Amino acid sequence: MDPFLVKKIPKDTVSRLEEFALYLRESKKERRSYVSVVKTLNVFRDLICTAEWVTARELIKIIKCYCKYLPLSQSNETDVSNVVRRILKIIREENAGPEATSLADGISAFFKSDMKPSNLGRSDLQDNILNSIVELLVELDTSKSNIINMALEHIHSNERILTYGHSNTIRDFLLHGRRARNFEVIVCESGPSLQGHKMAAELSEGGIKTTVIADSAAFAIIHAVNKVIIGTHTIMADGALRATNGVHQLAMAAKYFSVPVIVCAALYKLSPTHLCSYDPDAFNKVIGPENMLNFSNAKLHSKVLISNPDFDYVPSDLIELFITNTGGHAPSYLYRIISELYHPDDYDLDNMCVETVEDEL
Amino acid sequence: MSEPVVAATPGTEPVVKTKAQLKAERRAIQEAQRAAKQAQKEQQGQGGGGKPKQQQQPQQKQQQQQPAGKGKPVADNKTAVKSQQQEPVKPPDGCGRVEILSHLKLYDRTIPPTQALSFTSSKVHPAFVKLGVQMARDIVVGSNARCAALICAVKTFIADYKCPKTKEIRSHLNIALKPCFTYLSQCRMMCVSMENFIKHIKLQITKSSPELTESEAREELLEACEDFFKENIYLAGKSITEKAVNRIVNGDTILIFKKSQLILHILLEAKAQNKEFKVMVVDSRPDLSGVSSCERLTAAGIPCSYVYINSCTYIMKKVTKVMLAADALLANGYVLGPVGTAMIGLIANTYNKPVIVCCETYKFCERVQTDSILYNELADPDSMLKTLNAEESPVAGWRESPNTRLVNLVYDTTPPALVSIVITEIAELPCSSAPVVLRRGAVKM
Repeated sequence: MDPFLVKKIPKDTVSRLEEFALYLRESKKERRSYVSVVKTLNVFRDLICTAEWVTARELIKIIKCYCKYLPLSQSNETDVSNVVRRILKIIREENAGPEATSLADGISAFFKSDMKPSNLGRSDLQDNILNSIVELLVELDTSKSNIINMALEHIHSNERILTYGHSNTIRDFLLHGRRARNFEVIVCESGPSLQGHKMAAELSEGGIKTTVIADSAAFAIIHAVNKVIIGTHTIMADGALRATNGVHQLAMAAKYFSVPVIVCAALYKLSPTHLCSYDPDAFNKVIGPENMLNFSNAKLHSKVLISNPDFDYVPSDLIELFITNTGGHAPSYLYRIISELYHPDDYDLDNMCVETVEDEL
Repeated sequence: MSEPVVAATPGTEPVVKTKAQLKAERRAIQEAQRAAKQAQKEQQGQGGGGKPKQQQQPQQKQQQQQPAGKGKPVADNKTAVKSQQQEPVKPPDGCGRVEILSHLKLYDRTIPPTQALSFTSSKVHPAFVKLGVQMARDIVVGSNARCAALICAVKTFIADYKCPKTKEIRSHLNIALKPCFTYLSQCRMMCVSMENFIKHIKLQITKSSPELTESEAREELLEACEDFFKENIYLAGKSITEKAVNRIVNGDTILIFKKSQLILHILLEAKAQNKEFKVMVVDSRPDLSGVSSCERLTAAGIPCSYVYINSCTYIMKKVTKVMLAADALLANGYVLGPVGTAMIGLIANTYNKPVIVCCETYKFCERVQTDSILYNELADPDSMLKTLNAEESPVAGWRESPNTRLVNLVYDTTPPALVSIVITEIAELPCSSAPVVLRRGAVKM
């Protein structure tokens, strides 16, 4: 760990921080974003309580120094980096106190306010920050139930809904809707991981008539479907998605037949970043092809280049509506939400993982 | 009403019976006689003339019997055909309840297709029996292969055929072939190429001249089959290959979908002409036939990449052209192909890549449709449960669950707006020229 951090943070906290960094690095595919997010908040709460700092600026410096150790630039850590951004925003807000302005209040007003040391002493500031973090935890806890409670506003009776692969949010959303409405769900298998099978099993146990189709049949069947409801891994700043592999073509087919695409996701998945490049490899992550072609077919494996990308970029013009824990939003409104949730200084990950300079202003 | 009637038999007291009782007695006697007759007839074998009988086969549904014996000499064979029909068994509960697809048949794969055929007097030629099983079990796949196999079976039939003395070959042969074709369609839905060949050969049979002797007529028909294969499959394939290879340039990356005999032939030919190109093979579950495409291509030394259809948007940027095969071309320009073709067409269009469809003209069909579900085939739903790792799918118990169903579609239709060009053996056409080709073919005949 950085000597600067070791100086500022007591030993047992340092070990907990290292543990957390290790936990994130081990890419467990089944790790749920909600669990990582809660863990992140707890770890940072610990850090704020035990580290040595007097002003908010120092605290932010410590946090940014620690972020260097977290694999935040990996594509599947956007939920963690979003939460860290939220924490930084909370710190800045509490520091500015009642004069806190956000970008939403107007650019000139916002940039006039500076990171002046607050009137509050460390203990008061810390209390305020911790209270806000607890509020954030509560928001995260209730985010899913807020989303699924909107199910009845979006599903009418005898509807046919198409969904893709597996998503806990969507599953609970549909099961909640089933309590009052009768409808049918068609699930795309989502090869090669075949998560769609798991989703279909869970939905039919919950009493919903579910049909499993192959991904290739999505175009064939989508004209007979009323809406497409999907979950996502990340929402980009312009309303685009980084979702499971195969969602882009589903959205394209839906657009062709004018079937609305609805995305249900909590706001901690909203990331203030954009697509970094139109080069698909820069945006994506490729995983092992053992689910596509058996390794026993070694001859073919050695001669053929097999690609198994994990994510898919879905442009925002293919999406009709976002259902988030704060309600339903059009993709064009997300910029506003971002300006309320995050501070522009924290948008760029490079800024966040900055090398500490001792005598920085 | 019922007056007591005295029925006297010698040596007994007169028994008083009502008219109703006597009627019942008479009916009982009639029933006994009928049962005896039926047993006798069954011993003589099926398909005897006379009244239509209902065969009691295990698991065979009762057919609807049309009042037969309409006074035509063909009545015998009609009833024979009906009694051998195996109705496609009612689909297992799971699939029946996909409402929008309930008009499509689902064959029960636990029952062998030859269930209803008997060894002794079946009207279905063994070559057809074999072909039916091969198609039902996906041993013969692909529209060209199935049509070629059908042509072979018909040729064998014609070679073995002996016309009855009282009949003419040109009227009787069609009748003799009918049970064979019916049996085939009960094994597996016929594809457009097969249907078109059947139409062609039936026409050839009725057109055959009455002056020819039986052996001459047979020769002529065998030649007609040969010619159909040669013109429409073999030479058409060669012509399409020539045209398509011209469209492949050095440095191309060509996207193909699953396995098609024609497309592979084109690519191998292009390689033989020393063109430098790469191939991107897009595959989809559950049959994963793209793997054998990869094997063929790498064996020929063509560099290959392999993805599932989900990743089609990921790789489409690197592709220069898309080559697809069709199972049929409908009269309104829609392309009927393996399910997933339409998706690839849509993605290619979005990324502005040309979509080249290769299709022989004998696959052009007069049907029109605008979506993929009206005419389709349901393949085995259990094949969707196959996973490449050892784990069982969570929906493996779908038949027991009342809410789960699996649907495995075989075809889909690609709208003509998504296709750039169709290469046929007569010309390179836009999709909208399909009805012109059909009309031309009809005029030729």
